Amino acid sequence: MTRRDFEAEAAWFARPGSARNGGPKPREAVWRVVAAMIGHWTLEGVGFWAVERSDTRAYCGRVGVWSPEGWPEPELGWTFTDGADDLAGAEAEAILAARDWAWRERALGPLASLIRPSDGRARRLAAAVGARMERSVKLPEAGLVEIDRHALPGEALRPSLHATHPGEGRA
Amino acid sequence: MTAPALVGVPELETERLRLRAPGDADFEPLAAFYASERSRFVGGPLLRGKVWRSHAALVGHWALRGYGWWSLEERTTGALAGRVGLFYPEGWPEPEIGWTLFEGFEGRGYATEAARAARAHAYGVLGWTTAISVIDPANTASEAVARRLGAAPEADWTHPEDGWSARLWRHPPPHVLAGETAA
Repeated sequence: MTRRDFEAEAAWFARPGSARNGGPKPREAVWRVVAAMIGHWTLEGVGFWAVERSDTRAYCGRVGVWSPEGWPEPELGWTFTDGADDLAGAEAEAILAARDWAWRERALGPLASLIRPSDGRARRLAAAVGARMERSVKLPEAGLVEIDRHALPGEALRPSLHATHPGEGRA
Repeated sequence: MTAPALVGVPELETERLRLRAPGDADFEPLAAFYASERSRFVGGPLLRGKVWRSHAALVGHWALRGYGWWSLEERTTGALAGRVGLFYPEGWPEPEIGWTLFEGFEGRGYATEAARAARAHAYGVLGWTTAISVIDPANTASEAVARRLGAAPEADWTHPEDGWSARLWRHPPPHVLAGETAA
């Protein structure tokens, strides 16, 4: 992500449509988030990519691995603007590309995604990329969230993962 | 996993200090600082999660602005003495020169020495024509550093989003400092 992406993010978070991503948010807050996402790469060796449409190169969101201090485990996360709304399945493609990279380059997986119960859009995207709801947890900052478990690249989710006791073997 | 080093950050040296890129190794000392009352003038105390995000944002600041905060090492011991930097997040009144010393490193002129090097970089390399420092009016130690740097109080300022207030100190412009060296 770069300074150019900040302007695109700030424009998106100034619009009412960003309510689906927790917006609208003031520019100051968006700047801090983008700065932290860039710094995240340096501190953790993983982070978020800006997502562009391959046809117009227009910014349409971010996807990546989020693993800040205090997070229960590395998370496959995403935020999409309305920039890809007309491209059916494009968001899922981006999420899967990030998931596959994390496994291939960082040996991270099967990754979790933390989803707010009220976020139907995130729930649908998680289902579209083959993730399954695993359990609910209450986090100090985010409150009650559902943890979805992704499949590893190239395979369907193994049933044995569902039999794992909550918390067992997890970072 | 070894995290990649932050690239493109110039390393500066003064008589007693090294200004180097901030990184993962700085987080624990920073978390300890922000757990202490010493951090009360710079937004603390803060929980670890908040410190981490603030640190990540300071690292990302370099990518967004081309300048940012350095970690401050004692050259003789390699110990992390604090940090100093050029700071201009969205919503800030103007680009700022900031400094923070960790416990045990005060009273030796380190903040002044480091801030002078940061300012010389801002004026000499980045082409800044002026600079401010944003200081809590209760932070008399930091005000003393500002005075030693030749800065003077100019106005009070309230952060547009967060609502806290501070005093803006104006540094002398480059031509007034002409001839001053980084050390």
